[in-house]
Parts: sequence; C-alpha cells; structure tokens
Amino acid sequence: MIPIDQPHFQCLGPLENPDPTDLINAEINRIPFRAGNFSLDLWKDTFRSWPSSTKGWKDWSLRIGDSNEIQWGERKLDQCIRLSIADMERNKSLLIAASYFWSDTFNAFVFGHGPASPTLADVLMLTGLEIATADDSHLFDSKPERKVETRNIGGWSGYIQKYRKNRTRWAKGTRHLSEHVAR
Amino acid sequence: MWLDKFVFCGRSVGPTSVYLSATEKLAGGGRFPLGRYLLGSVYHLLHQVAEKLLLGQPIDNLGGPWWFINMWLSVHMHKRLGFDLFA
Repeated sequence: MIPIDQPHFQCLGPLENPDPTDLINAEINRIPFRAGNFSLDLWKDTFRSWPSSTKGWKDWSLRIGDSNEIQWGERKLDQCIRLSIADMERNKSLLIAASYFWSDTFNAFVFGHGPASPTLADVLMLTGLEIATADDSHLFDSKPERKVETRNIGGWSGYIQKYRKNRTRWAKGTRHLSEHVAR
Repeated sequence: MWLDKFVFCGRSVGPTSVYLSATEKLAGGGRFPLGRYLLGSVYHLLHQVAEKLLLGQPIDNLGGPWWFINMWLSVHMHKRLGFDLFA
C-alpha cells in the first residue's frame, strides 16, 4: 500500500514504507463516529430481535436439557444454552455508543485506548461454543430433512405449544429427536 | 428455535426454517464450529450497522447477535463503567 496525496485513498503497489500509521489513520477517519450522524431516531427498531423471554421456553428447555445434558456438553452447547435461559440485561446505550466506533475494515472497535475486537477466543470463553472443528458442513446450503411448521403458528409461543403438545404423537424412537430438532 | 431466536436472533422475530439443517446436524450428533458462525454473524451485523451509520440511514431491525456484543462489551468495559458482572 502506498499512501498518496488524497487523504482517504491508498494505492496498491510495492511496499516501500512498512509503517502502517498513515493507513491506520485513514481508516480511523472512516468510522461512523467521524461521520457524526448522531440521532437516537436511527435506532428505533434496531433491537426488536433481542431474544425476549417467551412463554414456555424455559420449562421446555430445562425438561429437554434433563435428558440431553451429556450430549449438549459433548457438542459444547451447554454453556450457551444456559445463557439463553438467563435473563441477560440489555444495555442499549452501550451498544449504540460502541457501534459508532466500529471499523469494518479492521473488524474492530477503534476506541481512544486502542482497537478492541471480539475474537474466537472470546466466543469460546463467553459461550463455550465449538470453534476448532473443521467446517465441511456447508451448513446453510444444505436442505433440511424434516419440515417444521413456522407460518401462521402464533409466533414463538405458538411454536412451543405446537411442538410440545405433539411430542407424544410422534413415532417411538423418532419422537425424541424430532422434538429435539424443533427445539 | 434455540439457534434462530437465541443465538443468531433472526430478523423475522418468529419461527423460520433457516437454521433447521444446522439443528438437524447438531441433534444427530454432528459437529461443526458454531462459534465461528456466531463470530461471523457478529462481524456481519456490525458491518451493516457501520455502513448505515456512515450513510446516516436508520439501522432498522437487522436481526443478529446483539446479545453477544452486549455481553462482550460488558465484560471488556465493566471496570471502566462500574458494572458488577455478578450482580
């Protein structure tokens, strides 16, 4: 990268100056905080998908958890599942304020004391989720084998009602797996 | 439901089949790096937010794991902001 006279542009080329300061400074000037679009009106609908407590979820989760604790532990899901039944306090002001410091070039928050970014190690420490397994699953390209009803079902509460109720109607042997998948 | 509502927090805020194949794989004993997908989703969410803020556009409901960013910020800033993580 070769810095040129234009303040926000860099040229690709042979590296002559290994000092990245100019590049870093140019990127820091691109974070939203510098653009100064500060208005809470921009954030009206942002946190609608925050996982609110849903009637029946905790009981369902705990009941299935009783018989699946070992498997969830083996798959490194147990810690994260426990987080989902804890009522985590939402700090909207902190989320909004921090977002203005995110650099999508660095994938980091550029704070006054330096850059900080969530890493895989943080994911492991905070959620316990698997990070090391090779990913050969093409997860979101594959088609599911089962069908789960999702439309006109009355949201998440209706979904829980339906799949909890129907658990006894599934054939023996597949019943448990089907409920587990739905959950 | 757990993946959709509590991990990736889909923007539909209701049941979808988006994560069904992942769930089948987990329920069937398969292993894959779910944590990496979560971190990717965090970066993607923050990228979308930063882009909209730069353009002065409303953020709207993008879905995404705000809960993880909330938790990460709380852990990293609890001393400076005086949070009691164990309250």
